[in-house]
Amino acid sequence: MLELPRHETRHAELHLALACLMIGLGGVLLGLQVDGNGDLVGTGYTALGVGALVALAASLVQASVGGKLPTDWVAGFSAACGFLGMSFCVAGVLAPGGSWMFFELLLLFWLLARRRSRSQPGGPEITGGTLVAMGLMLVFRLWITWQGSEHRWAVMSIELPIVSWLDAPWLDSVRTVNLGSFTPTELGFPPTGIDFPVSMTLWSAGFALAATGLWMRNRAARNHQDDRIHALIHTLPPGPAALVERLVPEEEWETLGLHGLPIRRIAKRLEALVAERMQRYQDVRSSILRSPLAELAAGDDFAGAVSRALVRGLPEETERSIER
Amino acid sequence: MTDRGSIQGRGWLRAMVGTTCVLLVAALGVRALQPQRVYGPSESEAALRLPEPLQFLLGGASLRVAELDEHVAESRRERWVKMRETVIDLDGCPRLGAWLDTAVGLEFEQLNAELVRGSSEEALAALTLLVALARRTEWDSGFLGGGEDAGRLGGLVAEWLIARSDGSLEDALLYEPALSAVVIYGRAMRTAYQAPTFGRDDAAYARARSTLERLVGITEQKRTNFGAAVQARYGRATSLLEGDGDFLLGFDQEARVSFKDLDGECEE
Repeated sequence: MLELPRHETRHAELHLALACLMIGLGGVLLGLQVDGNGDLVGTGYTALGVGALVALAASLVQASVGGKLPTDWVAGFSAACGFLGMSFCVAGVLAPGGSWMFFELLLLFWLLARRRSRSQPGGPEITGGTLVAMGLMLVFRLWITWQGSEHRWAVMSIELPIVSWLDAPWLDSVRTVNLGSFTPTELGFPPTGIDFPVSMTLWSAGFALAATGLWMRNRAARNHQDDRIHALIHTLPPGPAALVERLVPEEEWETLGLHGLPIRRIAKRLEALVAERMQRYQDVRSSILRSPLAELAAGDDFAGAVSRALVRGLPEETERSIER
Repeated sequence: MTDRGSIQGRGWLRAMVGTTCVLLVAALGVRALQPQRVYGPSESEAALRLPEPLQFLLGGASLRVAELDEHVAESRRERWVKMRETVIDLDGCPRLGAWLDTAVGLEFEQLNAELVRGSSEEALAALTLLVALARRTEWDSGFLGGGEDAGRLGGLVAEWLIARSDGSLEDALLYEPALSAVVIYGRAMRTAYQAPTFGRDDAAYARARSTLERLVGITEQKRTNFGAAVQARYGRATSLLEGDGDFLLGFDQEARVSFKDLDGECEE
């Protein structure tokens, strides 16, 4: 039985818990709006359902790269928070209904459900670029909500010159040209209208919290995986542990596919990697000993520089024997 | 080999995870929060005697108007019956203002004022008579103006609303008619406001604004109880009261839907 020391994974777990807390708080704020009476009203489940659909597609496509499932309940909880956080964010930035929503939906599908080049054992991830795109969508949603709160049911109204200057009631219908019209129903407004300043603050704060939480969760999930591997290596005595970390440095753990594996498989994989790298080291050492490095090292050209570097990389006694 | 969860035994981490779980559940739950509903009064005895009171304001009112006879006080019943027959049978589509200035019109206004201050049934009779008159007279504006007729109609409806709107919240017989009277008022006053060929009738606009401020409350902070009921029924129209543009537009649009034939153009 191999047990990992608890203190070794504490910081990443703290960051994960904090990220999940931010996602939860952001989700609450994104689910609320304030109506014309000043009462808190829910934003409904339509947009959340669409957000969950996008998050599901993103999770499936991203998981298909590595095909790894969460290996402990910390990773599982983090993955669930990642899924919900993505659903909250998508639901928060989508135009609440109508044709606008479907255009945005297509864009979000493309941005989020693209195949990633590396596996994501911590659940679905959002890149920085996608978060910027979602931020712009939130700005658009706030814009049309503001237009609606001012009873202008279009993305933009352009006043026609001359006609708009005449004060005659029968010209009312042709004074302005509306671009991109929508209805209160499409915006999901409560029957008594919306208190825009308070609702905007809730949504903006909610999106900022959820998006920051998702970004933190991405990093913390990777750190958590690194911590697990680190903790496993440090079950060895200090000397061999340091040697293993030199042979298989931390920067390579993710690219070597160690993230997201169960501890038993990480141990097996590390054993194989240490054996393979030591074998390679031995091969290189033997090759160097058989090469005429001493003659080449005397020169000032490129071959000389490379030969001196190779000789310096060997243990001291071997280096002296080559020089002799 | 096992990777036992390192969370165990750490209170702070448990607390954060627990709080997160609560927040996630709350994030799903708050989305179901519904806006506060405004319910009308429960059925009263009077409402049971005169079911579907809104029908007295709609196109088929003439078929039921006689039902009101027995509910009008005996002292004015004879005048009521005579007046309702006069209004229902009114021919020739006179201008509303001109008709009100006739001897019959003056009598109409007097009777109407008495009925407005009477019982619930009599108040309903007053509004019925008023809407019937609006259907059988002309009060729309033409190219040469004519907004004063619409203004007079609006004035009569406002008088009814000021007297009965608050009480209608507890009165099942008057609840729906009172809400409808607001949109009829908005329709009439917007017609008056837009009547001039060039420019607008700002006096009518200001009059409508002060009346609606008193009845409904233009801003949310000043909304009256009756205003809350109007807002629950005609949310968009009420929210337009606060807009920069034509604040009567919403009620006018509602009236065009609910009282399509009440457009100031009388048809023989």
